[in-house]
Amino acid sequence: MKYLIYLIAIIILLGLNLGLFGSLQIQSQIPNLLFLLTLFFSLEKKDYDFFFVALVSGLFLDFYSACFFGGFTVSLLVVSLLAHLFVTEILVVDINWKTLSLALLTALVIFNLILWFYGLVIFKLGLNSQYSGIKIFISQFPINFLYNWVMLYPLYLFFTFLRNFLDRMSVRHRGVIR
Amino acid sequence: MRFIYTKAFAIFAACILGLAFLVFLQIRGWLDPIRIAFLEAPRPVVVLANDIALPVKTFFSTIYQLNNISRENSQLRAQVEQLEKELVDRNQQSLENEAFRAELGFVKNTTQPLVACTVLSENSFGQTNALVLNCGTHDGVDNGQAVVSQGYLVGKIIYAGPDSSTALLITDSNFSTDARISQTNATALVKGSFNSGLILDQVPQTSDLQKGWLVVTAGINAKIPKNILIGQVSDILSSGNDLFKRAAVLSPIDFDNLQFVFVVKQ
Repeated sequence: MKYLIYLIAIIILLGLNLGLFGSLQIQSQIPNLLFLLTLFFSLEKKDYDFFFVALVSGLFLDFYSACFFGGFTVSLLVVSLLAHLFVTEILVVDINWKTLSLALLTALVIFNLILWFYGLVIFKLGLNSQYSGIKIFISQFPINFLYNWVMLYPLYLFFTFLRNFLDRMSVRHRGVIR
Repeated sequence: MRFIYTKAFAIFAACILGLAFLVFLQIRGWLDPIRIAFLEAPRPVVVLANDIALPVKTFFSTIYQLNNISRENSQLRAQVEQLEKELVDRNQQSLENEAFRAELGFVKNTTQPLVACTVLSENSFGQTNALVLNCGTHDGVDNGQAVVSQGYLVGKIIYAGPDSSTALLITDSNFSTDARISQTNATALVKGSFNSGLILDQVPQTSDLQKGWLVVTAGINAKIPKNILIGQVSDILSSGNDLFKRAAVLSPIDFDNLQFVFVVKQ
């Protein structure tokens, strides 16, 4: 049941991403809501649900993008794993907005680097006839980061709502509240 | 090394292996059913979100482009004004061209010495039916000379300045000239009739007069040569008891839109 709700949440966010923000582009850039959702899940220490979110989000992004299949999924999986390791193994203080912004910046850089590197490998292997140069990522990165940063708080509210909703369902399921 | 034995790494590795399998399926072209399912699943949300976003986008893009729209609007207004001006010029040229063509036909068929004049304005000096022409005594124009257009008499010069002159139109009530009925050679008088047309007067009762007959100048006045067309009889106005016969004469000339005329030098 939990994973079904995750799936519905991902579909809603993807719909908003494509339908709503597709019409509200800034310099041809739109925020990646699925990336932000995956990041919030990864920064939680509770469980490994972020892998499911990263995998499904990545698959959706792969199917909807014109890139070679797998690039977004690999990038999201690696970024989510690194983010999770960062909060569980390295970070000793609670996450605040400064560290969250820094985490977003780092995660976005790594995400784009892996995406570019994956495209390059696929191109070198002869599986794809083209790949996006790193200059494209660099030129688009500032606005892309700012747009994602603006959407960080709304996504945090959505993530909190989702978590609370699942917690309430879980409690009901165990029969604590009738 | 400790990390590779953790649950997180195990799940990660499983995901990567699963993804590698999907990539393999994708390369072989066996992933289409899954692809279609993934593409179709968010479609209702995408359509709904798009329907909501489109008016918002239109609103903000309109505000964003308002300045451009305003500037573009003023540019288009200027362009429209320019085009209207060009259109007026072109219409004017077209009318002039038509007038030239009509006059050209007359000039080719006449042997009289003519001075071509452009009509500068109408109603000069408070007179109701007069034309100001751009030719004067320097061009050989003199008082009393006949003014013709397309071969028809349209008036006579009543004032000749060095470079301009004034012609009284044939339709003015002060205008009169001797005339002749071409079919009978009977002499008569043609005069203007308070802007309503021309009157053929003083035709002897013994002379026959019928509708459609042509009226030309008689040549009694030395400055108006004979046989210049005036018009044709359109209506008999007098009865058998009158001293002279009277008739309305119709000229085909549009006296309100004269642009070019010729003064007949005698």
